[in-house]
Formats: sequence, structure tokens, C-alpha cells
Amino acid sequence: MEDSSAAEARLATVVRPKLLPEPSGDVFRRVVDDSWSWRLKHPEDDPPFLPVLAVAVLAAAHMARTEDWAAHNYYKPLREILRLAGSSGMPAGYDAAMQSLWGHLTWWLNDYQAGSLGLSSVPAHPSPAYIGYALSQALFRSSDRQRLTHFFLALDLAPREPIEAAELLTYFRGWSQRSHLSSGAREMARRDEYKEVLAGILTAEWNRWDGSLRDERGRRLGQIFITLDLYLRPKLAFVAERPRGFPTQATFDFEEAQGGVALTAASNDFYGELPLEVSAKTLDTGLRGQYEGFALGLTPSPVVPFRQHEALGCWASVRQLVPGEQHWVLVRDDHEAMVRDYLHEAALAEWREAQAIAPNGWTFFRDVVIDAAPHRVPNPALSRVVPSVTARPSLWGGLPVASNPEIYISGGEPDLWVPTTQVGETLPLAIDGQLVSTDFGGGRVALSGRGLPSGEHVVTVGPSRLRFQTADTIGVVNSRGSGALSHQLRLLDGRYWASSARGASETEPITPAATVQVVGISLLGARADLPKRARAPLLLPARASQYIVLGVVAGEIAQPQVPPESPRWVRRISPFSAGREFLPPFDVAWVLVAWRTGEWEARLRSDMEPRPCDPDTTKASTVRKWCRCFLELEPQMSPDARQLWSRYRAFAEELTL
Amino acid sequence: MFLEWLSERGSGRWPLFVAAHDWLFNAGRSQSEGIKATWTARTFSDLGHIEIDWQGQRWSVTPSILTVLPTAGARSLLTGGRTRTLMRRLDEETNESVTDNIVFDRHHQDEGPDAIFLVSRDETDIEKLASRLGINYDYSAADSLSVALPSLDSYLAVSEATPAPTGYEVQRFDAMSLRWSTAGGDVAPGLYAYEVYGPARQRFVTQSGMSHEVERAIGIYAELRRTSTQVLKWSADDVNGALIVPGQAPLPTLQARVATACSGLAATFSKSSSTRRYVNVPRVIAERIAASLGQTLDLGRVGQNAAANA
Repeated sequence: MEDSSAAEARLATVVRPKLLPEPSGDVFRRVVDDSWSWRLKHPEDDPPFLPVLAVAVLAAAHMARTEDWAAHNYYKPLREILRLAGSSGMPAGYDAAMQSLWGHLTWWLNDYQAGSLGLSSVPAHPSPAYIGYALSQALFRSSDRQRLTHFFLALDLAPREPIEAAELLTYFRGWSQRSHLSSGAREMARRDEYKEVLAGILTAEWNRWDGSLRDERGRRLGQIFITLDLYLRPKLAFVAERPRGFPTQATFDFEEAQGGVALTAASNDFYGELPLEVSAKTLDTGLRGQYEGFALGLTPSPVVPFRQHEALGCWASVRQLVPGEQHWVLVRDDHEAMVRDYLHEAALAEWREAQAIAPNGWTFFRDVVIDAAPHRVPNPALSRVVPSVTARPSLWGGLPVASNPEIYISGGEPDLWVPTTQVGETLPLAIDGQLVSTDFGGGRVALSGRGLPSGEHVVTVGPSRLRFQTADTIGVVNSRGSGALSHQLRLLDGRYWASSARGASETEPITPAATVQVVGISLLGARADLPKRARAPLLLPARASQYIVLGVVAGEIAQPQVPPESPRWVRRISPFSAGREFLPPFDVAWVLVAWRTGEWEARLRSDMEPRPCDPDTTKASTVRKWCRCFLELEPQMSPDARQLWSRYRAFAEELTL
Repeated sequence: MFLEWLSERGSGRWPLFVAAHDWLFNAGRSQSEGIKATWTARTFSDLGHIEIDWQGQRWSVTPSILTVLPTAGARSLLTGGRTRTLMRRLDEETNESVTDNIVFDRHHQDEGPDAIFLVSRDETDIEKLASRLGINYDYSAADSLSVALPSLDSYLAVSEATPAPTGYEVQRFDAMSLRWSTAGGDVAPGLYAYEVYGPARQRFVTQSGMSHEVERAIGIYAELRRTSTQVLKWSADDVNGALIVPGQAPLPTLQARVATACSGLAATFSKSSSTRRYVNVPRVIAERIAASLGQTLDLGRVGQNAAANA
């Protein structure tokens, strides 16, 4: 392989003849003239000015390696490569030339080639001006661009989701410091002077992201999980995910396995277990397998949280500990003390070390539940076990009554979670425009209990704006989904049979014949299919001296005795009741209540007209009693009952004649 | 708040229930201190507020209903869904400026959501109130439901006889001690539980060797019947009585619902006796519950005397 300085020298020899002397006032005029000629006449050819741009990038790379990142420091290596004598500042004509040349390249990649060679990542308006074009390519390498897919996933973003460049930049600056980006990219993230270049790069990459994870070479990447199966004998293993489009069967090349690792899809989403041991070495170095354009990878980390994985049916490594859920945490021994201290401070009390599961040099902590953000910003090495929902502020929990948009019931507003370590700086926090904190350091903020009125709300955390709505009620007595499930019973030979042994199922809109549907305490079905019901109980006032219950049919009369006290168990239950129940043996027309004052009150229970009795089955004495009630009593009653009372009285008079 | 949310939401998937439940009840609590979502769901289901399709992993709230409680000092109960709109309208309809015939109050209970009891001048007031609110009314829900209780045999008849899960720890239910212990095999008649991932699965193997995949409570009572073990007691009170159920043998959903519909209150758990107690259960309803589970109700001496007097 050619020595890098020799290659650099050869590149310079290609470029130098095209440059004009500096006293001409425009060193790059010929290059720019040629570029216009190419663009207008022969854009099917490769851009002839690429070597010039390559030199510019090379100079930026030189600058990046020095301790001094001042912008003017870029021109010194540029002049050295091009052997331009004179001052150490910007070569004459450089500013306009770079604007033209990088612009031509962007046009060629994006418009002329329509992205077939890849889209341009050159920022439209770089900062620092002019050298920002080259810096964007030198410091932020191609591999860094591919790794941005990890960043977008860490933010829990979906392709084309609206997000501001400022927001991307804020969380990228935090994320980058614990990422596997190149040192140049990480340094760029640390320095304020490259904010705009970075924002441009992030926006460009974000706009082209298709939602897939990619490795540093741009291959689609499936993640390798560490799994922990606790059944019978605890066992650690590696399982690779199988993103959409990955082959069902393939032999992936792994450094750790000669002849490759043959993997077969165990489900739509996962391959079977990898035949590789989960050892201190594999955990330290990570894993990387490739097959054609596909890659599988495990990124090494000294602290790995695990959570129960529904699809895998066991515990599996996760990117981030989430609040309130149980985790196990696998820790390399050089981080063990730090993690232990952190768990003592932040985790709920039950965590403990799990013996004899982790490989040598590693320790497992089990039953780790961390519900609140730490009071102070912990060591960045602990970032994976600091509870966070995503790598940017997000809403968590709450009682949503509708989604798209998220509407929460008033009082059930979600919590706001702001990542602590990722940002590494404080941010202003405001709720509905009211400043809550000028220097919020991250963590959990309960939005409920703040008396937020129903309606739209905006939470602002630094550059992030989160919106949600609240509603006091959806405005109906019974919501649309109520009654959707029921227990189905079949009526067979007068008995009810369960239709399913597994609880409730979908309610039929029209209950089929010989079927009863139980919804809550209600029975739905045809009248003939429902159990025969007792008569409705009468509720009588308890503090009366006497009660007479009269039926529609002459002779139907009852004089219930009600207990003076209510049942013991209800005496402590509010509201107080002075009532008692009475189960009448006939259909009731009137309830007569004699108050202790001697007054009678008639309460109408049915608007049915009086009917004669069957003289063969009714005692004459009870008919006489029934008649005397209407003829002798003058009860108080509601005005609408008076007419019917009169007709009953007339009927009684006829009977007594 | 949780019942209000369930009522406003109406229905949903089980993970949504768990997420909302844990956010509301378990924030800041460890796993062992926390309230399990399944426990809450069963309590709400017993009280008739929700239905759960365990297999389909769904829940739905039940339509609101007013019912008169059996011999409960002329009290009625509001159960089912409880949207804020309903509660607001209930407030309005029972406001003293509108009527002095009905009052209602919330009764706090540790085991479940507040029970809402109403007291009215007479039963027609409750029926009219239900009509004005646009909700159901049933004057004898507990009685009707108790008549419709399906038998154990009917559950077994429709249960699937799927193959037993293999490779998992198997536990067997002991009807005498009402406890589970690790089993060497799962062929002999009895009730077995498999510690599979997700909800545990139970299989009941009959005397003739037929196996049935059943809900835990159904399986327990099938095994109690197979071994002729009687566990249900009824203790007479001044009016009705208390149905007493062993903590390790909880009633199946519909039976528990009938029992709670008698009072509107969730069963209270006694740590000292490890039993659940359902209050105000009329003897006839307790006997229907017992019969549906193949149990003979133990009336105790007091209960027998009360029954004789009745």
C-alpha cells in the first residue's frame, strides 16, 4: 500500500498545475472556469475538480489532527500541500472557488446523477464559511455518517418525522461522546464553532435516512443481543435479529468462527442462537459478522442492561434501561464498583448480585429497578443504566384516551423524561410557556398534579417541543368500546353452559337464539332465554308505623313487617338509608305508608286499572280488606295518581255492593 | 382515576392496561411492593366494571348499570363504566335542587375502586334515574346472574385438550392443603400448572385421563370436586350472610361477580385465616354459586339454625 504522504504528494502534483499564481488575484480561477465548462458540456464525465476538493479535505484532516482547531489554521496545511508561498491566510479566490466547486458537486450528485452515486452531504451554508465545506467531509467521515443511523434509532425517530436541526444537534452532541464515532467527529461535536456544519450534516443525513441501521461501511446491520435464559440452569447466549430483507439462511463470516456461522431464521425477526460462547473476550471486543451486503453486530460496552424480551421469551440486552421496569445489568469488573455505588444511590432496594452466571471478569446485578433520574449527573460510562425513554426528551406513561394525536385524560398527564447524561448540560424547561426551570439537568417531571386545564399543551426543553392534549372526558355516558367483550352462555335443556373455557370474548351485536351474553352484571338475550326473574323488590321507608301493599287484582294485599334496623354491614356505608326492601308476591299497584303522625301516603307503582279476582281462589276476607283500603283511607298522594286512586275506589265500591 | 380512564377509553389491548396501571399505581415501587395489573384486572372484573379476554389479550369496560342490592337497606349500586360525563350527570340529576328522592355517595374500599351507592325514596326513582342517565337498570342482577352460572362440567366440556407444554417446570395442586408443589409428572389425575413464558397455563386431568386446559380457578374447583373437597362456607349474618372462600381457591370470574354483586363491595381478604369474605350474600345465591362449582356449602351451626328459622 502506498505511503499516505506519498499519496498526498501525488495528489498535489495533479492539482498544482491547474492553479494560477497568487498575485493573479484568483488562484482557482482556471479550476472554476473548467468546472463550468464541464457542467454545461460534459456532466456525464466525472467532475474534473474533484482533486482540488480532495486537497481541501486533506487540509481539513491535517488541521483536525492538531490541537489548535482555529479556522485560520486550516489554510496553513492547505498552502503546504499546494506549495503556495506567501501569507498564512486564505489563498486569493479560495472563498468564491470553494462555494462554486462544492456547489457543482452537490448539483452533480443530487440532481444530475439523481442520487444514484449517493447524495451529497455537503452543507449548503457551512460555518466557518468556505472551509466548512471541507471540514464537513474531513472530520465527519463516511463511517461516521453510517453510524448516525444508530443515533437516529437512539432518538426513537422514524424516517421523515419532523425534527428541527437544532434539536438533532443538541442530542447528537450528547450522544456522540459515548458513541463509536471517529475522534474528529466527536471533537467536532464538542466545539461550538462547528455547530452549523454539524447541523447541516445531521439534517442532510436525517433527510436521507430510510430507517435502517447500518454499519460503518454502509451495510445494513442487524443487532446481536445477549440473551439470558433463567429456566432451570441460567444460560447466556447470543441471538441475532433479522431485520426485514435479511436472508432466511446464510453463512455469516465471524472472526471468532472459522468457516463462518450458518444462521437460519427462527422467526420473522430473529435468527437462531449463535454458536459462539458469551465469554469475557466476546463481551470485551464485541462481534461482527457479514454476509454480502448484510452485517450483524454487537457493540462492546462495559455496562449492559437486560430486560425481558417478549418475542425471545427470555431476558435480552437492551440499549437503555427504562424507568420503572425490572432489569438485570451485566458489568465489566473495572466498572463494578461504580455501578454498585450508583445502584445504591438510584435503584429500588431489592437489587442484588447474581452469582455464577456472568463470565469471568464480569458481574451480574439482578432485580434492578430505577424509577427516578439521579440527583446529579452520573459518570457517562453509566449512561446505559440511567433511566431514559429515548435519547431526547419524551413523554412517558400517562392515561391516554386517544392516540394520533395523543390525548390524555385530565389528571393523567404523562411524565416528561429528559435524558440526563446524553445532554450533559442544563436546559430551560417550560410548560405552556411558563418557565419551570432555567437550568434543568434532566430526569423525570410529573406533568400531572399541576392543574393543567383541558386542551393543548406544549412542553419546551431546550430545543425540543413536545405537544400533547388533555380532555376532561370524551363526553359520553358510555364510551364506544364499552360492552365489546362478554361471557357467552348457551341455554341447553333449561341450563346455562359456558361457550368458552378461556374467559370473555367478542360480544355479538345481536345475541343469537338460545344464547345469553354476560356483560358485567347484565344478561343480554331474548326474554325467553334469560333466567326467570323474581318480582322487583319494593323499597319502603323504614320509619313508618305501618305499610299496606295492594295489588292490581282485588284481594291482593300484603302488610309487610320490615326490620327496624338495616343490616349490620351497611350501617357504616354512606349515604344513610332509612329504607327497607320487601319482595311482593303479586304485581303491586299501590304502596300505602302510615307515618307516625297518623297520616297515610299512597305511592303509585303501576298505572294498571283494577281487576276482579278469581272468586274460587281468593278469600272474601282479603277482598274486603283490599276494598276497605280504598274506601276508608284518605292518603296523601301525588296529583297525577289521584285519578287512578278514584277509579280503584269506584271499583272497590262496586265490589262491596 | 383508573376506572375513570378505563371508562373513557372503553376498550383496549392488555399491554395498554398494564402500562397505564403500572404508571398510576407502581411508580416508585419495586416488583414485590407493586400491585400486579392482573390482580387489579381480576378485582375490577369481579366487581363487574370490566371484562377481560385473557386469550385475546383485550379488555373492555362494561356498560354502566344501576341495580338494587338484595336486602341492603334499600340501597342501589352503580357499576360498570364510570365516565366523567356519567358522574357529572349523576351529580346533576341527584342535586337537591332537582330532587330530594335520591342521594348517592362514594364508599372507599381498599381492595378496589370506590363503590357508588344510592339511596332512593323508592325503587321507581332508581329506574327513572337510570333512564334519565341513559344507562341500564336491573332490579335483581345478582339473583339473575346466579341462576345463569354455568357448571364446572360445562367449562370442562368446551375446554381444549391441547398437548401439555414440555420442557417447563410442572406444579401440581394439592386439594387438601390447597397448595402447589413441584410435580414429577403430569399424567395422573389432578390439576397441573406449567411455568411457561407469559401467563401460566393449567391443565386438569380427569379420573378417566382426559386433559383440559382451563383457567386456574376453574381447574382448582374441578380438582376440589374430583377429590370431594368442600371449601366454601356461608356464615349467616343478621339479614343475609357472608360467603367465605379460601384465598388459595379464588372463585372463577362469574361466580365472584355474583358474590360481589350482592353488596357492590370487593371481597375482603383476611390474612389470619387466608380467606376472602363476600358480604351480604343471600343463602340461596351462595348455594347457587357452590352448586355451580360442585361444592356443598358449609353453613356452619349458626348458618344452619338461621336456615332452619328461615
